Amino acid sequence: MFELFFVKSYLWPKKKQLSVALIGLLSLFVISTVVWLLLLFLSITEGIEKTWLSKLTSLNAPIRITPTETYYNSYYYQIDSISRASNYSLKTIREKLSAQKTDPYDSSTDEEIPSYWPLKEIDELDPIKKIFSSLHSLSFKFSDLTAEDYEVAGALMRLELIRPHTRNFQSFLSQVSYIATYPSAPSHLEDLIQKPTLRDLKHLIYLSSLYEETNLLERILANVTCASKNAPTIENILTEEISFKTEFDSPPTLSPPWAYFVEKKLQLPENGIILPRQFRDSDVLLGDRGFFSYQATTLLSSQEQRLPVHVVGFYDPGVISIGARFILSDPSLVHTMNVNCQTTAIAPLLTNGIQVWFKDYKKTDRVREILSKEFEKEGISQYFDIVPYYEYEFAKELIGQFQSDRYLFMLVGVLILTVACSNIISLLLLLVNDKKHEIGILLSLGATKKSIAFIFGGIGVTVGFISSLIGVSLAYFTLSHIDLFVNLLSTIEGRDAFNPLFYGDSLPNVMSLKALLFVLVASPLLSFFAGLIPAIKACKLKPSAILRSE
Amino acid sequence: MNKNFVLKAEKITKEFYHPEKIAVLKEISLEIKPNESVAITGVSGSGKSTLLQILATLEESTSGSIYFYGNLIRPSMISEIRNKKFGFVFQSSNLLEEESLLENVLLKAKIARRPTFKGSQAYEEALALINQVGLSHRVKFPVKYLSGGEKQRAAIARAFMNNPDLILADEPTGNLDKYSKEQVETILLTSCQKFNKSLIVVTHDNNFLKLVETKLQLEKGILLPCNSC
Repeated sequence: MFELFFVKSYLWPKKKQLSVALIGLLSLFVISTVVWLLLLFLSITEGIEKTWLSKLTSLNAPIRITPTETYYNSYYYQIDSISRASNYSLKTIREKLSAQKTDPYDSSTDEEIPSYWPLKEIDELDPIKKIFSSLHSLSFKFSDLTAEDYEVAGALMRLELIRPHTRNFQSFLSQVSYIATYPSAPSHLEDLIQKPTLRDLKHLIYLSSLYEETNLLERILANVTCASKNAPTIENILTEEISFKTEFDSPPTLSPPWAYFVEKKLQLPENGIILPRQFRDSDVLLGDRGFFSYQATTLLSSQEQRLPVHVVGFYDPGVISIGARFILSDPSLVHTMNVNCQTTAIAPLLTNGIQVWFKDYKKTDRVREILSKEFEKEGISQYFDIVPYYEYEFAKELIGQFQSDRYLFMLVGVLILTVACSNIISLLLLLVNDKKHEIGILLSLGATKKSIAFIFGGIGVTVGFISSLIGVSLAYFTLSHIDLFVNLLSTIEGRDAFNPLFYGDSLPNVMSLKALLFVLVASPLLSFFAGLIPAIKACKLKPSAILRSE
Repeated sequence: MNKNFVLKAEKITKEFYHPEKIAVLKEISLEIKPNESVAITGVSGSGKSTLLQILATLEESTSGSIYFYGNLIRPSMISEIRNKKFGFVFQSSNLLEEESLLENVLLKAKIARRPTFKGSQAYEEALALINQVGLSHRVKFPVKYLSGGEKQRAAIARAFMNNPDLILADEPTGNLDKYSKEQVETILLTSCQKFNKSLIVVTHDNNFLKLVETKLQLEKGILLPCNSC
């Protein structure tokens, strides 16, 4: 194709066409810079969004099944309150699941069922057991799918902070918090739980001597490893480089005084709680002790009840709005508070439910769809809502914001890229003017207008494509060395350029495939459109006028 | 329509409107037979180059029709006619200065989408034409290094590429010295005779006029046989 010959020939800078070469280089520079920055920005924002979503779904599960009003008003749920076999108390999902009888009511011993009560559903309907059976069958399709009930309670947490080497030897930290059960099934929390620090270790050692708990010291020593392979002693663990044991294949003989995993299942020492990492900023350390305070109603008044707790770990809650107030705790503690506490600030519908865990949150919609069909088939759909992570009350605004930000960034990206590519118009107009004579020659020798348009359109596309490739390479290089650039920025600014609370400990460094596809298609396409105006101008030239003027 | 004429022009009129209305060509009719050579002469500004450009399809006439072997030339045919049926030689050679002589001669074949690799028919044809105009020793030379006479000879070689039926030359020797002039005129005419091509040439050169069969003069927009030539 002779057109390609001319595309190549016109693109190659020549001494005689210095102005064309300079504008060509400028276009190349501007487009590749825009592509570079755009790709970098979109990749990082997409990475951050993924990290946030991954944290959110690791902590809260990608899907929650929550009982509806219909469930709480149903005979199935209410009947426990008048049944002797159920100790006249309503049951949580966990209790319902382990109950021997679907209907504990015995007309010979229990009081008469009030006339205004809901009617009894068909005998064999046990919604909770049916849910778990549906989830069990679903786990054959999604191998990493697990499900577990959860409970959330509200309480005041009060921690005693003893810091022997500070001015305030003893201080207290109080906060009204949500207390949620941690999953005991294999979950994906291991990425979120932070490892203890040397400061934590020193504090634990100090507490063991303060409270004269030799057992605590033994548990510490049994669960740290010295880099030098020396047997851990108080002296060498404080002076040597050490690592903390947090993952075990079988239950350890002496369990560590911090959160740990046995076959991917999170384990907390007795009365242990895991706090959001923000508490570290308030000087909370591993081992700090305190209590949950809640009001239990008695016949005449309400009494303050206290449940002792101690800090066994910190987790990264991501950026959800209530992240800093969400404490993970042992199910028995949460259940105790929920049973006794009548003044919880949490909506009753949110206190109990089932979390469905799987690693890849992108499968959420598929899992949800299958579950909906299963529930429909089992006749239990009116009792439960299947809530995907993007509809969680505490997260949906943030996720909605992510989505609208993504569209906005994309729009801004297209606009910037359009402006950058329109540089090509000036390049090509100059080139058409410069090559008028040659265009005249080509037309007089029989080249069609289409061929002339192809030559200039082709130059536009080629400039766009080459610039994109340069931009993509630059973005790839930058992303591969992102920490280096972040450190450089931080040094220039004199502080952390990116707050780890929002962006994580390091910025995402994986190139977004969507963004890559976007720039590789949009930039040559926009360049082609930019090339159309000069190409049309070139086609309209009359050979007689050009060649005569020469 | 008579198909015995390579080119037939009927009532060609050309008017310019700026700065004022001028009728440069007034209902000119012309017929060119196969192998015929026709020269058009006239004073400067008489419109002979305009007439040639119109005949060559490089410019549109205000009115009138042009037929190629009896077929009316329509806008959709123009590119193909320029490429395969006509060959042009301009006053200034109009070659691609940065490219070699061979590339310039091959350009018409490339536009015609003919294979032009070494050994191809078009390639051999280009070499033969370069040889015909006596420039075999300059095949790989960038055109910018050729002399004026050599450039015009190169333009003649390019005009004959793709085996056209008609060569149109617009004062091909206008910018040349006496020696080069004679050389170019001889080459142009002998090539036309050798390859059996018709020729329309616009020229002021009396010596050249003498060598051409049909001599016409353009005067006040009307084409007449040239009695004084």
